[in-house]
Amino acid sequence: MNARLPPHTITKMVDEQAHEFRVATAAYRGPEVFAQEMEQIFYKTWIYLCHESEIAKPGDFKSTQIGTRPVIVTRGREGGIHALLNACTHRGATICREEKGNTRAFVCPYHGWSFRTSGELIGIPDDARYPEGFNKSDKNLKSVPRVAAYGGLVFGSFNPDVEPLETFLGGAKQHIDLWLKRTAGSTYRVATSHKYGFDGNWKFQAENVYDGYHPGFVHRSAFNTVRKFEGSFENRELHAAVRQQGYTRGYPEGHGTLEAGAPLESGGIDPAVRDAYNTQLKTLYGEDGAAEVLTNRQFLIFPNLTIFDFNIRVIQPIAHDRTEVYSYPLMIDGAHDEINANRMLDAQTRVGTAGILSADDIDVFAGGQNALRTEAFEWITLSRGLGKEEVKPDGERVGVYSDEAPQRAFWRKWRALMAAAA
Amino acid sequence: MIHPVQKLILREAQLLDDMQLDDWLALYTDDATYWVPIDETADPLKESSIIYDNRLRLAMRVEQIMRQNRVAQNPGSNTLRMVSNIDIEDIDAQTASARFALLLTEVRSGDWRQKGLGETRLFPGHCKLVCKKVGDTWKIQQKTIVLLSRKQPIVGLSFLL
Repeated sequence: MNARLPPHTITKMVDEQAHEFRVATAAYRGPEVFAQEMEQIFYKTWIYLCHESEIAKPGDFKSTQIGTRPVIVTRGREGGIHALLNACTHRGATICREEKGNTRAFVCPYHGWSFRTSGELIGIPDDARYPEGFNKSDKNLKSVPRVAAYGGLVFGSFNPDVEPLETFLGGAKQHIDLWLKRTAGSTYRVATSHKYGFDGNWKFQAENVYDGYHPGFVHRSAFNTVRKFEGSFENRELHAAVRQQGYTRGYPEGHGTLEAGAPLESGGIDPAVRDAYNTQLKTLYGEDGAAEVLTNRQFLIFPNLTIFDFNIRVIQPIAHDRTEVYSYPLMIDGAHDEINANRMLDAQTRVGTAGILSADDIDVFAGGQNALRTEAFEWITLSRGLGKEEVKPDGERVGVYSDEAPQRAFWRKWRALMAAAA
Repeated sequence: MIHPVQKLILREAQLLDDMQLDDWLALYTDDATYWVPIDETADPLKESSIIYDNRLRLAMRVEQIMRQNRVAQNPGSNTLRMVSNIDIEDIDAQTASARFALLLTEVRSGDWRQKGLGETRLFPGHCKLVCKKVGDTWKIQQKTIVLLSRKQPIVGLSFLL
């Protein structure tokens, strides 16, 4: 393991004063900070593993990572969810080479050791050659010690003493609840993820998710295009470079949101189908409740899970200057085909691999890594709305749409975890 | 004699490489579909694709690149399409299908020392077309590009494949 950066070095990287909130460029750069992020954040707190619908049936599995550690998430025969290190306990071979699938057992390709999807060792070929007293009971696949789910979102933690998941979710819980209401009493099912990568730090994507300041600039080309093709998208405020309605929120747990103050839907749905869906929401949640549910919101569960109205995005750190993003469109079980097809195309056309929005974001992220690689440039500033935000008794901070309130919440949490005792 | 659809395939590659995207769009019928699947056996309205565009969404992509100064195409990509293994089958007098292999190479212009601009990226794939004769002109009604890397992360697909 790398030598730890001492707490005072970390603490100095996030400089909060009354007139300015600064982050050291060093926090985005170098294998030392990255290694410490893995140890202090990704292996200490809750990390999103998958949506329950991805492993719906016994034997279903999915390969993923917690930080840079390879993990298989499975549904056991008994129906429980397991998270296992993807490493054979014999000689360390990678045991599962597929992205996803269904299996009765994992059989190691190297020497044929086999394991149930719960991780339990089933068999060792020719096991008579092992000595008397050889302990098989500790040769099950290594489990991620804590697994828990909220609203269909499955999280795991390598920290056996991690706080309860609902405590960790804190202020973000109410936003998850609202997001779940969009299914109008049903449940979400995720489609195959779009995947894209960029040569930049993972925190660039995390900070961007609830950044209401950038769309009028980075995405001007997309908005101008949408405006020219009347009816392709609805309800967007496209004429102001910096949007005036809506809110940003930052929570003490590190999570943050961006709310547009208006629904954001693409055009092209049969009005009768849309009306039926809206009526269903009004029946379930009332006029005001339905309007709140339909308000466009996007939020980040610290450190790397993004939830949009129509997709889930996972920000996967690969190295300090390399990140992958997996963007899963969210279908609503039992909804009209047209609604689901529309949600699919929305997620795809906007924020997919070839989306009219995301390709421009990642170009800026690569440029950011390029600029911040120089130590001669010491600080970036995240001060929009600082001191102007409403601070609630529970620590929630509310800013206007273009404020950097959620980014500051992210960095306060980052600093606290990174500087904590190992 | 060279089949007119073969000429269409080569013309499409040339127009894309030359960034004549308005002329490229004119090669497609009004009811055209353009599909870059992740799972080529799935229904693109029920499962994710990299791209599943109708003519309107294709026109939006052309607009964003050609006239709206898209950030990720500023500086722009230079591309070279190698097209081979062309196999054309006549369905009837007005319809033909074609398969061909594509090796698309992309290099961004600009300051090559900067992250995001210096790499040479390869996009190999199998292509399928359904072409229609509209008046005297052969046009593309369906295009499918099955990229070899379709299930893996792709960097910056801000240009047209």
